Amino acid sequence: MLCEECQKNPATVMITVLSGNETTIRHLCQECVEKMEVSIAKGDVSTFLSSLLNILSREPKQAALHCDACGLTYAEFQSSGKLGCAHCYDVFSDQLKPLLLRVHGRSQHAGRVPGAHREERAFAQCIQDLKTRMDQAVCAENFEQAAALRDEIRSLIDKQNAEVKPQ
Amino acid sequence: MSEHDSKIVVSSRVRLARNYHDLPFCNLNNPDNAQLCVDRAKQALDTPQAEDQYHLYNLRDMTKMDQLSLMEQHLISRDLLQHSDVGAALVRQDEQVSVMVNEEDHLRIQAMINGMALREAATMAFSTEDRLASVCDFSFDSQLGYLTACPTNTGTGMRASMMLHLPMLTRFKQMGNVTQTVAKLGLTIRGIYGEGSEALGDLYQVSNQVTLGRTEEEIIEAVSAVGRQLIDMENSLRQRGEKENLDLADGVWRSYGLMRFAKQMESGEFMEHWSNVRLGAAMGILPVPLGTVDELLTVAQDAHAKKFKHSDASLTSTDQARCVIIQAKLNAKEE
Repeated sequence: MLCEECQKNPATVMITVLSGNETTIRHLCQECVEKMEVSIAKGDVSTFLSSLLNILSREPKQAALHCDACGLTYAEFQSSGKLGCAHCYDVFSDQLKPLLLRVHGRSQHAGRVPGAHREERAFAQCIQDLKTRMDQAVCAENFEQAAALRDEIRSLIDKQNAEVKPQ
Repeated sequence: MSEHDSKIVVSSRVRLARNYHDLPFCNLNNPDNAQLCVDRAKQALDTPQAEDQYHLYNLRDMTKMDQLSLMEQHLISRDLLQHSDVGAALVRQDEQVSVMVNEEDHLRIQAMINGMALREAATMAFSTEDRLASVCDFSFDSQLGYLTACPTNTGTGMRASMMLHLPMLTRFKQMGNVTQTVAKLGLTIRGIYGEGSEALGDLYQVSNQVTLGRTEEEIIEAVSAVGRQLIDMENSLRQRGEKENLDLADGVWRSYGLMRFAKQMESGEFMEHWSNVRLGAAMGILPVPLGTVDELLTVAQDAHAKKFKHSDASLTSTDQARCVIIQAKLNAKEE
């Protein structure tokens, strides 16, 4: 099998990209893989990104994808490495997820959050803590405490929902 | 920051990339929206307190020389110069904080402090960010974090960097290995003016490459850890240089002599001698305070020297003006 990138050398490296439930497999030669590694070692992220993007999205239908908010096509993103607006992240989500994973090694933000999201995150953390305590109570066969914690979780979620959607 | 660290760490910098939630990113923004970004940033940082005032620089109203001069002070980036029609910068009076508007992202908030002080720089940048966010929300996604024009900045949108002076590691040809090792840790090493620039004067910027999935604290710790390791490596080579008497002092004094008495010096030659003089000052070989040598790094660069030449009719070239600037600083500070 020939390398899918250069179409010249035999493919000796297989790259598997997991995106949601979709698995994409690419076959590359050692030379093309080394080119990608050299560009990232030099800190040349744009070269690395464009080669990775080209490899990951050979299908013409992906290149024709476009953002309905700003009009940027995926092909334009591939050539410039820059997105047009925040909505592009939703429209090109399937293509960007493996790319982000490859570049950053992780896919879930862990840093600071803006004011409005801070409460949301604190609430999610609070519910998670209560669930952990409930599971521990169940394991210890302390069913009375587990039931109390379950009710507390329900009550907090109901209260939150009532605040989000006032009648 | 210890005095020991400042012998190697020239400065620490934290920059945050942010975009307003209701506007396209800069590459698709029209001039009206670009102006709106400037207006919002100005409104957010407008304050009656004198000590916390920001000066607005609209690049289109400045000469190329003044723009370059801001870049030499590291208050704006080389990339902002590419957008001089809409680009602007809000610079705090003490010049420790600057906000670039309409660069790759709507806002690039930057805090820079001399020596090893990444955490302090981060605190300053976050406090400025909070003020900017009070006027209009930023693009944010609960999974991907702060959304940026380039996906390589998505997440924290933060780049924490330390500028290190590593003449001995360079001399012993260790920087190639170091760069490769650092890349494996999700960090990168660049030259003095950021991405794609050369390591003039043996100055290197160590910064994080990865921005998603790590907290700001983790990023700062990773950059600091590599910084500390490089400081140790450079220090042990300096000690070895002293012990083995590797003609260090001779090279340092020669460079100092040229900087004190030369009549003209082009910028490449200046950076070479600057590095030797900084090494000499840090090792106590030369009677010059480190702060003075670091000041030269800005005031003796091309744009500053050109401006100085224009102010004095007796000077015939930028290289001549550079020598006058250098000698005024060094002659005044020799102890």
